[in-house]
Amino acid sequence: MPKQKQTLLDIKNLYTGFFINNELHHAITNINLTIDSGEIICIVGESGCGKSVLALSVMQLLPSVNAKVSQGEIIFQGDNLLDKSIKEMNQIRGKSISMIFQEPMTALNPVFTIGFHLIEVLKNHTDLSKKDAMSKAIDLLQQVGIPRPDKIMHEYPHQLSGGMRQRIMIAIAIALHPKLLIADEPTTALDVTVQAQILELLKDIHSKENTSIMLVTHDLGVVAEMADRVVVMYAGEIVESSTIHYLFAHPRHPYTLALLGSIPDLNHDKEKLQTVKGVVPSIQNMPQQGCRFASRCTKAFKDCTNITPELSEVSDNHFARCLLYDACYPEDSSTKKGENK
Amino acid sequence: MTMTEEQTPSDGQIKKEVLLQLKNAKKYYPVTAGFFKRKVGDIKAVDDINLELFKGETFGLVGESGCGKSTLGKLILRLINPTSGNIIFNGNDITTFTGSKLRAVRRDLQMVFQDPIASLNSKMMVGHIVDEPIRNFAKENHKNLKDETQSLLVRVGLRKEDYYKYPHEFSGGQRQRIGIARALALHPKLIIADEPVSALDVSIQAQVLNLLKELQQDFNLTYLFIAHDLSVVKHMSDRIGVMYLGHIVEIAQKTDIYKEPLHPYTKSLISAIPNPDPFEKKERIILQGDVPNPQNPPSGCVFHTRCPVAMPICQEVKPIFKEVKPYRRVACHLYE
Repeated sequence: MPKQKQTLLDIKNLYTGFFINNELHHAITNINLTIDSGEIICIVGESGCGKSVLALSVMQLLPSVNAKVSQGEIIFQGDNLLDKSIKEMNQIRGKSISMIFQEPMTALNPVFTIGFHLIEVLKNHTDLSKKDAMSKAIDLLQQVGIPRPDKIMHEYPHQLSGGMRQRIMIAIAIALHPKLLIADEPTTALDVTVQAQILELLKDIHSKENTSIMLVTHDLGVVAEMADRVVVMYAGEIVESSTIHYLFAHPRHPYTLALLGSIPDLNHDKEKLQTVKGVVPSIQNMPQQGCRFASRCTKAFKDCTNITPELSEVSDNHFARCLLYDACYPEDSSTKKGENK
Repeated sequence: MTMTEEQTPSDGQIKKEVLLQLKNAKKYYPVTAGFFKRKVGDIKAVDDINLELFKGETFGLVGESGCGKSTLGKLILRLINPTSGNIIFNGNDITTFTGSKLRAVRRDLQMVFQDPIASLNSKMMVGHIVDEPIRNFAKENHKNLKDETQSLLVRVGLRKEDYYKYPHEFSGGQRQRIGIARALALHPKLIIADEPVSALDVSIQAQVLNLLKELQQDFNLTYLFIAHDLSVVKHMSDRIGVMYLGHIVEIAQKTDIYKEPLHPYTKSLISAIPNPDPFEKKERIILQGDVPNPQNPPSGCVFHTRCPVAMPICQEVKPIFKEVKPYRRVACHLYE
């Protein structure tokens, strides 16, 4: 890891919402996040927590009809992406930031060959001749471990397996050596053995090209495998963030604890899994006040539903959004502990 | 195949009663080509499987997508008919049962499906979804039907009022609970759970897994638990069978299979599970390539094309599935 850390992406105070019946409901609120160059950061959370919306906000790929980034800044290499025009964004997407989607079948166009997809990226961003682009594309396929790349160039997405398709997506994403790779659940649709192959490939790209990776996933196993730093999201907010080792060793937020407790452990037998009662609130009925996790939290006390907790530093580079760890929480600690029982 | 002597039911640690037995079960789907739909080959979805389930146990079935796990589940329920082989349930050979005889057996065999949205009729009230099996099978009286259904709903963690609701009003985890209530309605002996939690989030998944475990004790159920997530299967099962391309390659007690997997495929499958513990870095066996096309499976051992320890014999001779250690059966030339 480089000693001099350089901030590549800096998300400040980001709010993204969707219009439902002409009313703006925020899917993510107050997101502050930095990604250093050469870092792998994992965004983890359950479905509906806003992790994909965050990824799409950075790429500005949200539908302009009903979605809006209403507040905040996304600073990539010194420029605010939100100020860019569509044309400028098109230059950035695919070249400086690229994205791998969850479902490789829907992300690839079924009526075009694999070669077409690859050459399209190369031709849009560089002035390579068709012949050069062709040979570059074959190189890329080789790089991501596709057998017989010159044959596969002329095949169509449906002729390939899920793992192969995801490799094609990765080849397209890394074609122009982007600084930042956003991977939205890249292995969710794949089998474990293939998942292991794809994760290995991503690690390989990371170490060879020093690409920063923002990996969105719900699988804590994948997180432990890949991440330098983890961000746990719940109901549109960051509830905890820390380095990987620290988070797994000392999880603080009750939601993170519950999440870790609810996965079956391979090494230790648990008779009963820990569960989180209830479900994630929908974005229309998000609690306006207090902690968003309060209704499902086992450690909730009276103030949890009244006072909105801030993301506060628990220890070095470890942040949690919970009144139990909130330094600004005004009550004296004695009542806190008393109610906590 | 020459498997008659080897397949004695000796997997159970204590001698247990066999509830279900599969004998050389096969399911081939014909592949046709041309205008006249001439048969050109077979897709061997399930190829020569011998298996027995004991009363009260959970048998986990794992494997990658397309290995035939769901086909096997459907075979047992007789939702599809086997190409050859026998299915023996509770002492009766149900392979050839038809009509009212088959209907009677189906009371004891129920299924929980993967997709909780697609498996519930969106235009039916939840109460009617759950009591449909009772109305269908129990001819006696339907006087207490509503009470019975409501207590069933409560038992799976829903509320009495949910009787009057419709599936779209529920979340994924709750819908799966409805599916479980429906499967329980007739107090079956065997429940086949085909990827019951793969569509759910982890915290919800834990709720459903806990529920399934509780119900097993209360209703004295036997589960065939089909899943691709090995940590979930380990949590649920007593014994585990690993499938690859229509074959069962290994069967063992769950502790044995995770501690000391014998078949190279099982080894790589277990090593591929992402471990939610960043402090423990384990040795990875990463398989090359994809599962071969089942229409044209490799000769000899079906796994030899991806096997890291393949020998020349593996290409030619199909390994015999046999007991190599107490309670452990493997199909691999390494152990012959």
